[in-house]
Amino acid sequence: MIRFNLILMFAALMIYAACSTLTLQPADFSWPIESVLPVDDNGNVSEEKYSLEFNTRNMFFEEFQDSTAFIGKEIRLIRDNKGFYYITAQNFKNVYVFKPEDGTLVLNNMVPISETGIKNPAFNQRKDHIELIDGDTKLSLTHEGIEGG
Amino acid sequence: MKKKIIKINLKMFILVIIIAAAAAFAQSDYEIVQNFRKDYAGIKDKIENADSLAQLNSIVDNIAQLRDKYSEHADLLDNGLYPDQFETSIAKLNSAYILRQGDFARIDVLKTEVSTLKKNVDTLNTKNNELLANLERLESLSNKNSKQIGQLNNLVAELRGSLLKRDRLVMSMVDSLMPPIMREKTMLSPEDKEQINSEIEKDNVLTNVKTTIKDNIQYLNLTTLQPEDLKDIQSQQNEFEDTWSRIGGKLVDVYADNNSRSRELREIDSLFTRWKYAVRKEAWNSISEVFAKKGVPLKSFSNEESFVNSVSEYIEDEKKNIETQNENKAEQNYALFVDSTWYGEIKPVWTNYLIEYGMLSEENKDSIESNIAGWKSELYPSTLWIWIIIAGLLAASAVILLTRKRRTAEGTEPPV
Repeated sequence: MIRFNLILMFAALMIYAACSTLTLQPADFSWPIESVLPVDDNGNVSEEKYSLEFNTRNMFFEEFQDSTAFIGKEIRLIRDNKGFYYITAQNFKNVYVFKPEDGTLVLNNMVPISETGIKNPAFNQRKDHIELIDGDTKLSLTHEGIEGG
Repeated sequence: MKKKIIKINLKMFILVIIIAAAAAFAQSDYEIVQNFRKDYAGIKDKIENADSLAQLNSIVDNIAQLRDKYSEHADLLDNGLYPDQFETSIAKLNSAYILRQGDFARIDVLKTEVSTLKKNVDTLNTKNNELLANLERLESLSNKNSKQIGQLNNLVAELRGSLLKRDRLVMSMVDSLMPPIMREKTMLSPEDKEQINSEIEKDNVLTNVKTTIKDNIQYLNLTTLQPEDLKDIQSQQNEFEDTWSRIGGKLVDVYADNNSRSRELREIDSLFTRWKYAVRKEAWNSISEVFAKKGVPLKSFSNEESFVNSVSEYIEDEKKNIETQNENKAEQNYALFVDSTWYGEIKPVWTNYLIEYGMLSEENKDSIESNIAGWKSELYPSTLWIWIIIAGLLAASAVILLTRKRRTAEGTEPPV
């Protein structure tokens, strides 16, 4: 019986080893400085430095319920060390947290910031969080929401 | 009680200071990087556009201030300015400053050089005037003895050397009017214009350019030159014109509001054209002199068309005169023109030059030579046809003789 159990354990170990995914760690995805990107006529933004391009129409529609709200706007974008993208813009009430997935950015969290809209938002990269400032207001954000909030 | 109120107020005050300080720290990293970039670009612009060493020196403080102001954000800037870094950016500004300082040092050196050049040009101007006067005097003597001819040749050589020397000095003077950085500017600043204007006025640059070209034209008028000399002059002329074209265009801008100086610039342009024309004219004059010296009376010519017409007319006249004039005279004229002048001097010495500088086309040269061939065939008609007739007659006689002989032989045979 003991012998059978040992064989079973060994087999389980082999199966586990065969199925586990190769993981490289630690990894740091953080951008040192936020990017301020103009939205083009089609709603696209492009960050050449990081070879990133995506469409913002749905996000603007979500924020303003207006399909043309993206026109003439610029967004502020930063990536944290875990790889989540934080996006906001002037007069947004929320900060949108996205994670990249299979050629898309999928909303991970929508962090409500201000009922009246953020006047002059800016992101700063900090050691273990993203700092959102708006005038004198400072908030610490993670992909889960406002720290301590 | 009063003490307590003061204590509370003091605490409130400290709290306000702390809040204000905290608020002051709420600064966007992005903004810091952008502000640095803006300040950096501002200083770089100032360095590039500094008009004097004094102005440039005042910018050193700006670089130091930039460094002090942003050194606390050095790490952030290292990341934000990627691939540049904070320290490398400051180092770039310092390098740009040193480089620009070098430009001003070069301008100072150029100023000194120009002042030396001016003295040399003045000396050469005086010398060239004397040489030209002497040359004119000797040229005007109708019967020159061998000593005078020797003197004349020496004078021409000395004048050529002296003119060349002065041309180079004036070219350097023109070239040094604008430092390279000023030439690259699409628009000159009022300070640039003022600086150039003062250099031009101080060194009489425009007058010197005009004198140089005029003297060269006069030299061409007084001398008879060979293709090699003309080639040298043309290459020097091109060099001078290139130098002038680099600066002249900018000077139009400098003197846009000065009518008399603008007129002088136009005069210089037209002098360049006259100089070019003078070189071509000199070539035709020299060729004309070759014919004259040989005693070939060609009609005067000063360009390709008149040259070809003149030569063709001469040949046609000679062809017409073959019948009327003495045979020896016709042959002498032919030998003088064709053997001695055309194939003896013009073709080996001048035609390549004329063709190379676009003054005579291959077709026109061929047409002259085909005219010469026609002239020859008229003067010395071919005798081949006489020989053919004689050969024909001899052959016919031989046939007749043979036929007669055969008939005679047939008549004397005895009947069978």
